[in-house]
Amino acid sequence: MDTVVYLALSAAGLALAYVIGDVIERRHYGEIRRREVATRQCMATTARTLPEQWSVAATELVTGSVVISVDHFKRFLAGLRTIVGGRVKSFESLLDRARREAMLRMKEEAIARGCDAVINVRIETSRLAAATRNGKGTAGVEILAFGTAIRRAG
Amino acid sequence: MEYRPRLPREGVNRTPIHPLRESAVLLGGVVAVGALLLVVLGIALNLLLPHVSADCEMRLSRPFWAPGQAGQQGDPRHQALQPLVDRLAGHWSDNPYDLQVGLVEEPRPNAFAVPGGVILVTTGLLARTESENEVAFVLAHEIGHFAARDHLRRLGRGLLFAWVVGHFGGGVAPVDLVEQITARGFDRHQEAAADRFGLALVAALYGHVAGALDFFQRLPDATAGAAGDVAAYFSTHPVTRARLDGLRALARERGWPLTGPVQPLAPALHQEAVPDHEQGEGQAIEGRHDDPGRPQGAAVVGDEIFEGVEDHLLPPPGAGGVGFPVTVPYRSLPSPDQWPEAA
Amino acid sequence: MEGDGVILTNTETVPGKRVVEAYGVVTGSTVRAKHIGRDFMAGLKNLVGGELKGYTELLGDARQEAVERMMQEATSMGANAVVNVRFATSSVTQGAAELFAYGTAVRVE
Repeated sequence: MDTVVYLALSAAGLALAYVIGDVIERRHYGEIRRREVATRQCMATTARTLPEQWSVAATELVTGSVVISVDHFKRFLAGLRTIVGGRVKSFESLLDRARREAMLRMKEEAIARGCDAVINVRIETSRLAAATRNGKGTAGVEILAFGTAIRRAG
Repeated sequence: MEYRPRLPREGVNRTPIHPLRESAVLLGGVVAVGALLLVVLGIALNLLLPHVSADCEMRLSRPFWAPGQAGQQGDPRHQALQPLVDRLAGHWSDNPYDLQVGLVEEPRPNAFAVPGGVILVTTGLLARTESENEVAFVLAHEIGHFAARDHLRRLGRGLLFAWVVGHFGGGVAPVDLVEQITARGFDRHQEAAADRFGLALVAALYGHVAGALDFFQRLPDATAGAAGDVAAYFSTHPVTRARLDGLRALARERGWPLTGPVQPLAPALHQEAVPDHEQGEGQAIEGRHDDPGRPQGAAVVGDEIFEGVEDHLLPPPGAGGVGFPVTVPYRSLPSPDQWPEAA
Repeated sequence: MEGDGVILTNTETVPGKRVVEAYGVVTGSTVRAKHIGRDFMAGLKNLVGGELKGYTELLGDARQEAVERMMQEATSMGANAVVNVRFATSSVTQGAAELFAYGTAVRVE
C-alpha cells in the first residue's frame, strides 16, 4: 500500500513539475524570439574580421550570462538516461534557451552602449553543483557569452 | 565582406519529446536493466553460496543479534519457544546452525529468517496461533529457509544490487522505486520449498501433521483490509489455497497422518490479538515464563504469513532484501532425501 | 539534405576563397549520457589506466551530431560555410555531458 501511495505521489509531483516547466519554457521561448528579432541588427560573430568599409570608433568587452535551473521532471528523465544511455533530450531545450538568453543579454548590453556589432564571441558553460548530496546534484547551469562590441565611426 | 544579420531556423538544437512516451521508454529501460542485473546476481549467488559456511555466517551476524538475544533470555515466551525450536532442529540431521528464536513486538503476524541462525517471530503471530503445532510449523518453515540458505541469497542479492545502483546510478530516485517494487520477501519457489521442509520437520517431531496448517486456513481476511488486493499482488507468497492443497497432498504422499493429538499452546505464548490498524515498532519484548506442551483445545486455521526481513530489520533504503519472482534453479535446496525422517 | 556541403574551418576565412557575406553566430549542441555498461567498463579501466575507448567513441559521436546541427542552422540561413568554429564540452548533470560547437555562418565564393 505504501508503495502505491509513494508511486502516486511521485507521479503527481512529476506531472506538476512537467506542466509548470512546460508553461515557463513556452513563455521564455516566445520572449526569446521576440528579442532575437529586435536585436538582429547588432551582428554577432565568432570571427575577428570586420567588413572592410568599417572604421572603429570604440570597442567594449560585453558579457551576458544566465543561470538556468533544472525542473524536477527534466532531472528525473535525465537520471533515467544515465542508466540507459543516449541523448538526454530533456536537457536540450534547457540549454538552448540558456544559450540564446545569454547571447541576447550580451547583444542587449552592446546595443545599450551604442555598439553596432560584437566580434570574437565566445560561449562558456558550467554546471553549478548542489549544496546537498555531496555536491552530486545540479543546482543549475550557467552560460556566459562574451565578446568585443564595436562602435562604428560615422 | 558584408554583415547581413539573419536568424537560423527554430528548433535545430532541441528534440520535441512527448513526456509520457519518454518516461515510459526510459522506465522500461531501467526496469529491464535492473531485472537483468538481478538475474545475473541471483545466478552468481547460487554458485557462490554453497561455499559460505554456516559457521562463518553465524560468526559474522552474531554481533548484530547477540545484545538483543541476551535481553530476551529472561522472557517467558522466549523460554517457551526456544525448546520448541531446539526440538524441531534436532530432527534436521545436517543442521549447521545454532538456531535461536527471538520475539518482535508487532501486531502483524510475521516470522523472519535472519542471517546467523535467528528466527524472529512477531507477537501478532503468537496472538493468532492457537496450538503448538501451528507455531511449530511456522518455526519449521523458517528452518526450511535456513536449510536452503534463502536468507543469504536475498541479503546478498539486495546488498549487491544496492551497491551497483548506488555506484553507477547516482542515487536516482526512480531506481529506488523500481527496487521497492521488485523487493518482496522470498519468491514462490523458495516459499514452497521451505513449506515442504517445514512440514517434514513437523511430521518428524510429532509423528503427524494435524493442526500444523490450521493457522494458514484461519486468517483469510486479516490481510485483506484496505490494501489487501494490492498487497497480494506485490507479495510473492503462493496463493493460500494452492499452498495448503499442495502441502496436504505432500502429507498424503509421504504417509504423514493428517490427524492426531494436537498440542495446545503454552500459556506463556497466549496473547490477545491486536487489531491490524495499530502498527507498532519492532522491538524485543518481555514475556512470561511458562511450561510448553500442556494439552489444549482444537487447532484453528490461519492465513498467509508475510515474511520479509527487510521490513523490520534492514531499514536503510536500498539495502533491503530484493527478491525477484524469476525461476532460477536453486541447486542447494534440501531435496526430499535430505529431509528429516518421521520419528 | 539540410546541412550538406557546408565548409567548416576554425580560421577567420576559408583559405583560397573569399567571404562575401556574414550572417551571424550559429550553434549546435547535444547532451549525451553514458549507460551503465560503459560506466562499468570505465570503472574497470580506471584500475589499469589507458584510453577509455567507450567514452571516446561516445563523445566523438556526440560531437559529430553537434557539428551537424550547427551546419543545419547555417544552411537555413543561406550560408555555405561556417568559419571560426569552436568546441566546448561541459558536464550539465552527473553522468551526462553537453557537446557544443559554434561558429559564424558565412557565404564564401
